[in-house]
Amino acid sequence: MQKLIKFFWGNPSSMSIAASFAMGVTLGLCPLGTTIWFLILGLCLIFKTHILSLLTGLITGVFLRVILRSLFEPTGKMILLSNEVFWKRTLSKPVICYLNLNVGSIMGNMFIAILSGLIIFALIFITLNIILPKIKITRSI
Amino acid sequence: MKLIRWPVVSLILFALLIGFFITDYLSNSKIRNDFEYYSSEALNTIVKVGTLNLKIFRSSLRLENILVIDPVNKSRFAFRAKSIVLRADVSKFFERRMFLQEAKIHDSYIKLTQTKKGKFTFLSERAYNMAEYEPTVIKINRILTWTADHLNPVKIVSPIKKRIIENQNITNKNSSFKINTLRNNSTTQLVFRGYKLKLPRDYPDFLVKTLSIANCNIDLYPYAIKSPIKLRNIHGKIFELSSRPKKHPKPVTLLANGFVGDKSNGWFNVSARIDAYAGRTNIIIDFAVSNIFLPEFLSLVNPYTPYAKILDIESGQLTARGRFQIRKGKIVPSSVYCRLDNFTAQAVGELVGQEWLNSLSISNTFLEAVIPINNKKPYFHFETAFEKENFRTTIHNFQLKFKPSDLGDDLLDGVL
Repeated sequence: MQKLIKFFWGNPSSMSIAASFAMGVTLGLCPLGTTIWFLILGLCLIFKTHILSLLTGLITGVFLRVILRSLFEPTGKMILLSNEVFWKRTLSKPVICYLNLNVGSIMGNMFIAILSGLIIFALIFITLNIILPKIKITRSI
Repeated sequence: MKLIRWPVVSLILFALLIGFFITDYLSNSKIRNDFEYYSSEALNTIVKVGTLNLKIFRSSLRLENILVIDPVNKSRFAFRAKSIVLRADVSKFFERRMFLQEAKIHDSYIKLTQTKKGKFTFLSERAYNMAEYEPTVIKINRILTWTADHLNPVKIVSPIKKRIIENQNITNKNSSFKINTLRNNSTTQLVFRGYKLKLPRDYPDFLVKTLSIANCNIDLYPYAIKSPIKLRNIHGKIFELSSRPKKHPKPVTLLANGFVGDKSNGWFNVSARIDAYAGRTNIIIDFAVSNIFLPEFLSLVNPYTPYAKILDIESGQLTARGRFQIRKGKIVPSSVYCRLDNFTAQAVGELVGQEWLNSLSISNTFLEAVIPINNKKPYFHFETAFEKENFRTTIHNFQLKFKPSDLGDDLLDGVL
């Protein structure tokens, strides 16, 4: 039981919490069951992510997906049309071609998922490392 | 390193390793059933495979006792082969392409039926008429593309193409993005709509570097004739066979030879080069036939021209050789050497409204001609062969009975 609690909660660092939550958000925002979804899931399992933060992030990501869904297609289309030659050359490369990123909705979905993950990672990391310690200091004073 | 869960990495590697070896053992049951199911669905008929042997390490697939049954006549099979061996290039799978280094077909048997319009089909006439019309080139292309889609192991692993999910439609009012799930028996396919960037394809999706055919037998059923023309013991090779010939820079090359008839000494030899790269149509066909029994052969020509029926041919052996060439979609002028031995025929004039021809009969005659081919209809110009005196004959028994008074005054115009 203790091991299970430790596995889920443990004693994570602020970096681990931020990264796990961000990965969870990215996973939740990705189209379920696609090649890229399995790729991120594999990364979540291979790297020592904090399971509880990951699950919380996943639920957040699913909610965000419902809200941001309308942005996927126009964003993807905009990205792909911004430099068609570059994207055509890049997306037809081996292995990458299986990610179906030439589909506007998937590209937009992926872009928003990664961007949201990075923003959330930055927000949590700043909160845990800069804002929260400052609050603790002011309280102790 | 504390950053990585090594037990999970080990577990994934172990699962991959197990999958790698277990596929070989499962190939004859699971993969064979899948192959039969998908092939039957794609060809719209029943496909049966005796044994299937997949070797991932050698990247080879061996199919034995393959049977393609006619969809209408279940007792009739359209194709049968003792073995088909495929050897793939694994690296190309990662590029979402299928590249077969070698494909070998041994001891195969094909039945081809000629339709009323002169096309050749694997199916019976009834099944062909029932099937939806589709040009043969598109049909072959579709089959090759389908093969590339389904035989690529990386694509099979990829879950985007096929997965069982509940039927759902997600439509958004603000965008054109829509995910539709199409139910197809028990499996469901995800179809993405909306904007899609067209990716460049420098090479075809499916390419067979060398296709070898050994001991292939073909039964050609001319239209409305029940006895087939038998092409026996055909050996040949086809190089650079691709599903996207317009994108593939190398031309398709074909070499084939075989015998005509069960016990006759007639044979044929064909070599062809078809170049369709970048939308051009360049075709060169060199052929040679010897001792072909003419009455049998002419029944194949009947659907294309009514003039083939003018002569009711009893016997005759055809020997011919020549080159047929199309450059940029147009026939290049060339000539065909033809020789007829032991030619015996009786003219049937009613078919062309020239009843006086009924009196014409030829027997045991030798004919030799060099017939020009060009871009003008009817493409084979017998009249030019006469004009240029490229015609030689030894008539042993020639009969033509007519009354000059019945034929008008201009009968002998040009003769006298």
